[in-house]
This record gives sequence, structure tokens and C-alpha cells, in this order.
Amino acid sequence: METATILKLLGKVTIFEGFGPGDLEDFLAQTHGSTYATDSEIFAEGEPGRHMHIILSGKVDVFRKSGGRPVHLVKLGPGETFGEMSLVLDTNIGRTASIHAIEPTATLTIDYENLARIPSVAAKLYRNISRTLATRLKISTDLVVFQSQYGTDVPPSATLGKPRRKPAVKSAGG
Amino acid sequence: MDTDVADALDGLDLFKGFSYPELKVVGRYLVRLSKKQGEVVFSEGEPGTYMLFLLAGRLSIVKAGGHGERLLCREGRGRMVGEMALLDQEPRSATCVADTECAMLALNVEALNRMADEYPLLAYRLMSSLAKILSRRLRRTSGMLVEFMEN
Repeated sequence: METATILKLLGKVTIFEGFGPGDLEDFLAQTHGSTYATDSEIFAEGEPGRHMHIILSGKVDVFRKSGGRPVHLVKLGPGETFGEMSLVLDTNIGRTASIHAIEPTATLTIDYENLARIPSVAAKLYRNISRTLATRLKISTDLVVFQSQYGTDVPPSATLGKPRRKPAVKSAGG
Repeated sequence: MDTDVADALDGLDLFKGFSYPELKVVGRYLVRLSKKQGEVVFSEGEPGTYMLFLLAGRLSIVKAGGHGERLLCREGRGRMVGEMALLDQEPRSATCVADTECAMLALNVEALNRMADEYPLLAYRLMSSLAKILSRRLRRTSGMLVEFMEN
């Protein structure tokens, strides 16, 4: 893919918010490209790894295992990123989810060491990651406070303005 | 004085791993702030551009609600508040009140941007440290949420 196309695409990537003119080029210089065939595993939950991916083309599925069964979380496409938590969490914590390509997929990858070579850009990247975390934390905290006040009779999704699911009706027994 | 601020920052979670000379440098980007007991530090809904490190005293974080004010949490010495404003400059999501007399250090967006220009390595380590703390908090809160939902 041409540099101009990559730069145009990266201009739409939210994790690069606030990047100045030279920042994207500095960032690109530290990345390498990867391609994945449909149905191939990009990385598995629990695996070690300290690099993040930016999707240039294709689509991936993000899932976790729960009770042995995969729980699908989200699908990601061009301009979106995955793996950034590995740049933040302690090194003994492995990948927090599994990623599979569900279409032929091309990504740009940057790892922790290469990122440390461009500290000015890295500071902006971490600021953006922090912003996402802080937003999730606000939502989580609101949910916890809500739950502690109202108990589990009202599903937490009610706090998000989504339609309420009917609570499961327990049989009277016997 | 550089050393006073450096002493104050030493031991704060966010600055774990920073050397004393580095804390002196960081200290130059911070501003001292004091509040008396009962004073509002910042109000929900007002524009916010700085985060605070609490050096002495206790703060309460409260949110307005349908049934009056709701206490979200209390913060003591060594804790940070208002980091969201530093990250996205959105209006304050809650009100912060000084429960006791408080001594604080403020870091605002403009100062952080200057630090990123003048000392990029320090800014990088600061932001990386902030992301670590937030991710730990998120894991704890998510854990609490799962517990609620399982019980």
C-alpha cells in the first residue's frame, strides 16, 4: 500500500488524535506490515506479546473464552486498532482477548521497544489510550454505583438507555 | 522551590520509577493549589483542563442526581483526581470538595504539551504510567461489576 494511502487512512484513526504532521511519519517508520489469511489466528488470549496493530484492510473478530466457549466481543475494521492494552498492562499479564482474521487482513504493527524510540509520539499515543480507559472507567463506575444502589433487579444495561431485558423468571419449585 | 515539589511528588503512584532529578523537572510544570475545608475545588459541568495530585488533606467527589447529591468516593494523600479533564478537556463529570484543608499540585493541558515538547521522554513515561493506573482501576471496577452481576 502506498505511503500516501496509509497516511490518509491513519488520519482517520482515533488512537492518533492530536498527532502533528511529523508524528504519523515518525510512527510509520517504527512499524512493520503483516498480512493474515481468512480464519487465521493473529494472537490468542493469555499469550505474551507487547505490540499493537492498526488495521489497514480486512476485518477481525475479538473474543474471550468463558467456560470453555468463545464469547464474541466485537468486530474491528480498517482504521481500528487492537492489542494496545499490551503496551499498558504489566508484562506478566498476557493478551486480554483472542483475535482472528475473518477476511484477508493487513495490519501495521508497532511494539513497545520501537514506541519507546519515539517518546514524543508515544506520549500522545498513551494519552489517547488513557482517554479510552478513563471513559470506560467512568461507565464502569457509574454501573457499579447504580448496581450498589438498586441491586440486581434492574439490569445494568438500563443505565445505558438501552431497552431492558426481562429478568429471568425462576420457577416456583417442585 | 524545586526540591519541595520533588519531595511532594516522590512516592505518588503516578511517579513511581521517576528519579529525584526527574521529579524536579516535572515539578516545574505543576502549580500549587490550596483549599480550605468545605471549599469547592471544581464543579460538575464546568470546563476542566487540569488534574490534581493531593499532597495533604481529604477530598470528596460527589455527583448530582435525581435524588440529591451522591458521594462517589473520598480521596486522601497521594491520590490523583480530575485526570479526565487532562485527557479530553470535557466538562467536569463530578464536583470535588475539600473535606479538610487541602494542599494540591495541578497539571494542566498546556503544561503537559510543553513537557511533551521539552522533555518528551518524561511526558511519555508520565502518560504510560497514567494509562497503567487507569487500566488497573478499570480491571478492579469491572471485577466489582461482575461480582454484583453474579450475586
